[in-house]
Amino acid sequence: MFSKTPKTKSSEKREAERADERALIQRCKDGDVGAFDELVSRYEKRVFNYAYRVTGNYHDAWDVAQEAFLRVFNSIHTFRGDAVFTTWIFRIITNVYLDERKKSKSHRQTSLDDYIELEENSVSRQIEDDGPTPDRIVEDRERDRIVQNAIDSLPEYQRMIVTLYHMQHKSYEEIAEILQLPIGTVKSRLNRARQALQEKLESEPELFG
Amino acid sequence: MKCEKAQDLFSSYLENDMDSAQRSAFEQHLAECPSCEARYDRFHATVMLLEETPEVKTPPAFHSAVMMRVEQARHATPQRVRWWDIDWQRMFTVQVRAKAVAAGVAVMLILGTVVMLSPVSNITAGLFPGRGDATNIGENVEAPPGPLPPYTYRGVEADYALPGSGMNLSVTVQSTQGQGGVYDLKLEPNGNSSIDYAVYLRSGAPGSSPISEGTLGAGHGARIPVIVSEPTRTRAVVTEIEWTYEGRRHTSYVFLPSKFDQDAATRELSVSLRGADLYEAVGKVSAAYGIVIVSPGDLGDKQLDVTNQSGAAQLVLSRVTNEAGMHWQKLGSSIYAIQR
Repeated sequence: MFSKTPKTKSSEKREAERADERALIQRCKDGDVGAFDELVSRYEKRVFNYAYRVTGNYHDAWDVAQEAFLRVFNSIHTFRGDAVFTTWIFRIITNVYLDERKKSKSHRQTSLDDYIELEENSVSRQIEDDGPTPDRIVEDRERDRIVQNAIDSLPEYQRMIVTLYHMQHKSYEEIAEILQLPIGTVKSRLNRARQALQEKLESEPELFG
Repeated sequence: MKCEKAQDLFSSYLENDMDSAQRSAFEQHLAECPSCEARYDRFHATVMLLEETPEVKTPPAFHSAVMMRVEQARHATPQRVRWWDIDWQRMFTVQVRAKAVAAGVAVMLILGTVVMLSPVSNITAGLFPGRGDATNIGENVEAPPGPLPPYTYRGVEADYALPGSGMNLSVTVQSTQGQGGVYDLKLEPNGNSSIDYAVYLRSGAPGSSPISEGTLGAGHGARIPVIVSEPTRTRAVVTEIEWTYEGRRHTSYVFLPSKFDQDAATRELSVSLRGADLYEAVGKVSAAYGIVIVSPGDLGDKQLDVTNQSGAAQLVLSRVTNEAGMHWQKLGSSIYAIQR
């Protein structure tokens, strides 16, 4: 049985973090560029990763992520303090991505030559504690590429839903809010996406070995 | 329970999002259907794999690139040309020539706005430091640590030393997407003299204030972003640059099409140039083909003896410049200069 474990934090800690973020956002709204710099630091990994998984390549991810931050900067004055910031920022990235898709029909594939560096604390490392061996690094990258290719083959919305759910750890409710879809639709599309990926990945036996 | 129905429930089962009756029915089906059971196992494995997908590292220069664009956004001041700046008197004079120009100008200003503003939906952010990006005059840019990803700067650019004038002009086409054109003009002295300059929107109302002015010194240039948002193919936006070098006044025009076409060289089009003088003709060619044209600021107002032209951009440009006793030079992809 697969259950989603929320981050184990005390509710006080979470509340303190939320208050801290609200203060930071307020400083951004007041025009404090240093605060915005801090905001970029806090969100760039999430933003870039989401952009990378949905665009499927490094270059487009760079463009989408950068444009998203710029839009955040230009419209942060419209952000209502009581709303959820991550939902808002993911809405923006999604819109940037969809806008960009409308304009250019090019679909660039990631190749192994692209300089993709994976975070070393990835779960796939399993038991080797001394750090990944070079073979292991290549294996991880190869595996990541196979998975990304499979994700690339999905239709847009399924790609976004898979990424938001599995990589960004968003709940169904949050995804529904981000993509402006009914929750039922999100659930059924995720189910469909998972099965489509399953079929695509079935031909790669080493993944399930 | 049918197989299809069971498969629709895979996620719900995995996430324990079922009532007990449904769960029993589902488990019953798996017990009876080896195909679905195997399928569910692989489904489960796929989901676990997705959950284990590692994050990719953010490129080291990403943060600085974002902040640089943010700085641009902060420092650019939007200037709109308002309708009350237009000289309506001149607009409706009987002179055919003036009306033709003015009408075009009016269309441009009323229907669209020419806004000099940096933050745009500029997807081609060519702000990767140290990668041949020419937009960093006078800005402190740190080289990013670590290996650089293979990022290609997507901008068309040309440099042009305006003849005998001590001034070097760079035109960078930042973005060709969307409806408009986004350009960066950069002025730099090519000697040691300091140069007083002013840049006007020539297609704006006469007597309007400059969009940029100041003094250029050695190694210290000026950067003027210009965005053309009006999607017209009949008029170009014309910026006029005036400067003083060694006591002499110089002017130059830069014709900027709203829809820049990097592949203009291959296109064959028809352009109507009846009754146009050189200034108008160059504007029409620029707009129709989507090419940038730099010209001297004194084009005269003699009507050219050209009517309708068709062909490739360079051919039409040849005909127009020959008529006026000038010649053209290619500076870059779809960027040209005309000279005497």
